[in-house]
Amino acid sequence: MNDRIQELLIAYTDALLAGESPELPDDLGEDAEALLALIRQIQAELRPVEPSPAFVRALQHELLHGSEPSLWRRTWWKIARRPSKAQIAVGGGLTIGAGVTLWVLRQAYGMWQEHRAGSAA
Amino acid sequence: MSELPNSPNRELTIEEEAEMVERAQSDREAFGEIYRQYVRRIYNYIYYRTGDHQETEDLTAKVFFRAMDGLPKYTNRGLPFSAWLYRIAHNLVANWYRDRGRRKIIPLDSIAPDDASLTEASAFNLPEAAVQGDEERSFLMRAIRQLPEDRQQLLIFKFVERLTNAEIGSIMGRSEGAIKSLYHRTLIALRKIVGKNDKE
Repeated sequence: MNDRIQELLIAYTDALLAGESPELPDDLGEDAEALLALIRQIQAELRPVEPSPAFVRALQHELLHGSEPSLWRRTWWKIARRPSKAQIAVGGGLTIGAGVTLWVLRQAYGMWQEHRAGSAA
Repeated sequence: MSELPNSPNRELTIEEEAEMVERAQSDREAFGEIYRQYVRRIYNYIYYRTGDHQETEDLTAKVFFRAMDGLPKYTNRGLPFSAWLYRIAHNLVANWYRDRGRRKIIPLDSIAPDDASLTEASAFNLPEAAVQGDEERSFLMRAIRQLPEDRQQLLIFKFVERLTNAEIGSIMGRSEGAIKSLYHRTLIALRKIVGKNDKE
């Protein structure tokens, strides 16, 4: 009985995946019917996905002409693929970081100038 | 090399595949053939194991870099070359889950050929909602991710990769009969999980 159901499930799945309408015996039990319904649900859910062509090209280039992407490069890939809100957030963070750094440098430079002028006087 | 690498090539015969691998063992450019042949399949496999395109891209890149590094030592044991790639992918996905502490992973090597180590009950002991991808997961997909790994793999190979039972058997190291039996048990286990989740 188990063998018969196994064969039926496999044949049904293969037929569905081949785009055919499988013929079913009349005496299917409730359990077998439920499993066939589940197979149809799985088929609807598990569909092949396509990687982005840009990613596939970039990785091929890295593989054949470069070395394993560095942490920085991988981080950049991640940022570039994030939704625009996240990209804006990252961009904003970097801008603020750069601004703070510039401000600190400017303050330090000013203090150094004052110190230098004081020393010369 | 002008061909769009995203286009999957036709299925290779065992002999063609062996020649391609042999060429790639000594020629980095020839590795491009392997890449083009398998990138889509490995991507799909990882995507359905992780549920996240960004993580999938990272892990896919790691699979091919690891394959390229390990290829000179690769020995053809009569199995499809894809079995080796899927094993690399499996291990990386396992590490990925382990690093994040997201769920228990059972290494392929530890799975007994007769599946004796995996009881129906083990499927229910895994944490729920193991993957928090950035996309809305369907009810069924969440249930599939609660299955033991070998059963998830079987469903991916069957429905996404559209492999024959014999091909699945050679990749998973089982007979065609064992694959049919595993498929039956997988469907029964999935039905139970779906029923259980439905009640909660």
